[in-house]
Amino acid sequence: MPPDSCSKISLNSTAQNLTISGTNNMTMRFRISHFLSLALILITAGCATDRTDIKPLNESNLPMNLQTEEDEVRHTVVQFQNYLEKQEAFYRDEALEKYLDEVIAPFAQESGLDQKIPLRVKVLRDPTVNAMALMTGDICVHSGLLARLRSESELAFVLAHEISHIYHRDSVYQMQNLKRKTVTFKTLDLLFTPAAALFGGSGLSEMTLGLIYGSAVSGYGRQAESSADLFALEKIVKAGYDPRDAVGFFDVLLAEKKRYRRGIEVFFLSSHPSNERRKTACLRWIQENEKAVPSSGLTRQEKFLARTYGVRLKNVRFNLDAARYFHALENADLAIKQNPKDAEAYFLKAEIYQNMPDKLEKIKEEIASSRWQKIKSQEPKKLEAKWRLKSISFYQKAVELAPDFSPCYRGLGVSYFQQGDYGKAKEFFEKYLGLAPQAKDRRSVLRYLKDIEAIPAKGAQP
Amino acid sequence: MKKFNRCGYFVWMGMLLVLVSGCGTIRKHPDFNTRAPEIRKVAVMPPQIVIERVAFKGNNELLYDEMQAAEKKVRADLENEFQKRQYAVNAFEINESLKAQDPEVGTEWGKLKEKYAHLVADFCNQFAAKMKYKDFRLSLGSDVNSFADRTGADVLIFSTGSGFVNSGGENTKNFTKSLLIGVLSGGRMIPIYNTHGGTIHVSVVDGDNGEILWHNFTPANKVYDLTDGDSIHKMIHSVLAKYPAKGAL
Repeated sequence: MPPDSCSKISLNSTAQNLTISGTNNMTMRFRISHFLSLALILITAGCATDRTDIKPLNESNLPMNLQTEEDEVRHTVVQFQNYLEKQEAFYRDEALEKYLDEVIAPFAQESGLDQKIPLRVKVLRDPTVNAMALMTGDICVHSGLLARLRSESELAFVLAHEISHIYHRDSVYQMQNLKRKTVTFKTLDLLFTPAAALFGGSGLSEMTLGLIYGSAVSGYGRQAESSADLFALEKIVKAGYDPRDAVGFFDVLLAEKKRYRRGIEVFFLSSHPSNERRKTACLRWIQENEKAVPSSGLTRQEKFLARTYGVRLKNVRFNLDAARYFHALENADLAIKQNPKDAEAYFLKAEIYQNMPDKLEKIKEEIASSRWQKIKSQEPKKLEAKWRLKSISFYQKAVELAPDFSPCYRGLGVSYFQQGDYGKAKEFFEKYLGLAPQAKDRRSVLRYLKDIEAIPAKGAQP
Repeated sequence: MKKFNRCGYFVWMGMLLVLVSGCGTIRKHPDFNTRAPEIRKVAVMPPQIVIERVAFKGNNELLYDEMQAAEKKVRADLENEFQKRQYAVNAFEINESLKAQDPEVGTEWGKLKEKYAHLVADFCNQFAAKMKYKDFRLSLGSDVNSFADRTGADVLIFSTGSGFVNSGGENTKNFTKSLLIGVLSGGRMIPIYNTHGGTIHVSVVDGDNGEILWHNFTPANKVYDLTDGDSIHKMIHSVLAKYPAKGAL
């Protein structure tokens, strides 16, 4: 919903509350309507985003006020990047970074940005689907995004979209817009909340204004996102990619919305136009520009999947660490489909099932309620047993494929320990330590062995 | 009517007290009492503190220098508190020489820190907070092993905190708003907006299996300032006030 209409609806409901809980006195109604008119004028002024006068990055002579804004944004971004570096937030893989830079190169050249700033793609260690463009020319893509994309054309679309934000200085305009809206809303808050206190409704007023504010300042804004989509389509078509395949990326996001309860995936590149609307707009653009669009453009699916295989596999672990089990399963399944002989993919799938029984609360938070209802309808003990068995079978599959892949033995040890089969657990733990005597997690395995040793002693106690 | 209201007031207050009494901030692993006597050495891991300056115009910013200073102070105070309780304290630091020796250490620490942040977020989202002593089981897993080995510690001390400081403009706006509400409500209601705030979570993590043995945080009803050393000192002191000294259990 566009912010303006959203604001009006909420404000109208606030107006009703004020009138009802206030008074029937005509004078008071008149005052409230004055207040509302003023509020609407202020909101409209605050939300108006003038994008007709945009100065792309390859044009100089920015107006003085925007120059100051740009300097401020750049300063903030540099500090933020240093912070991310210090936090070890980036996923390091030179080959992957080189590949991503290769994909981005034609767009940088074509838009003339390569003459202005060095464009680079960096991967953030984050399992959610997202990407962000920084004023310094760095495009940060989440590992979760790379893990979910299916072809190079989809990747090209996302990267070109982000380049558009840099090219059009969207973050500078966003900052200017954010300040304008924030000042507007805070001024309104200053006027409305004390006024609402007259009728005992200051809390309601604060809350309503907070909600309106929250919905109005997220993302770059409808126009910026839409124009970034069209910019991206134009660029990828020029580079020979298949735009129909690229736009399929929206289906990934839409499917996510159906399967999961929450997550940045639903929010990605979000702001105001919904993903459905954006997909429709992109398809319309393709239809209108049929002559320019090649009948069989590049998708480079195999190349993309091969180059991003490592990060897809790592992302299973990142999802697992964030207790996003069903997301992790999707990543693992995709990796297995791509490489059915990779023991590590099966091992990771086994790890997911091993963790799931203890984290039902997290699963409830993660998946859509219809999926949760199906899980909830099963008998908990049976469900737990089913997941534990699955875990063991995937560890065994991994051992079958790579008998020396030591982490599987540790996993089997833990699984049997959880089932109370301490003899088998001990056997697998010892096998693990035999294969990997210097393993970084040997301390936890020794602890399991110590606990197993203590079990008969406990049993002997009266 | 008045009597009824007064009676109702006492009933409500009584119920509130009952509720509050069950809301202690400390959480203990069921095995804490058996594990605690085995703890000799602790390692204080680098804290992670985020402080935001809230600006009137909405261009909020992270206060990097203050964050760094707060992290140092939190760490020093944590070390001090555990030393006071007779534990041998080792500090762990990620520096360039360590990275040169072990290139993976940075990534490993980054991952572990994120995992801890997720656990604390869960805690704040009530998922873990509603767990009582009997069933409080949260684990960072075996990823802690390498850090426990590096420091030779039995337990690792993890900490994270966040806070805000208002800009002058924001404070002026809040003051004006309070004043207007006070005047227009005829003095019945005068909200007081904090100029700053902050909270800190501290966890004692088993170096063997990554389980959180003990966890505590500063309660929401106290106002602290993470940009102020004395305030940080009070926070750490209050969070660890009930942590037992070596050999006390």
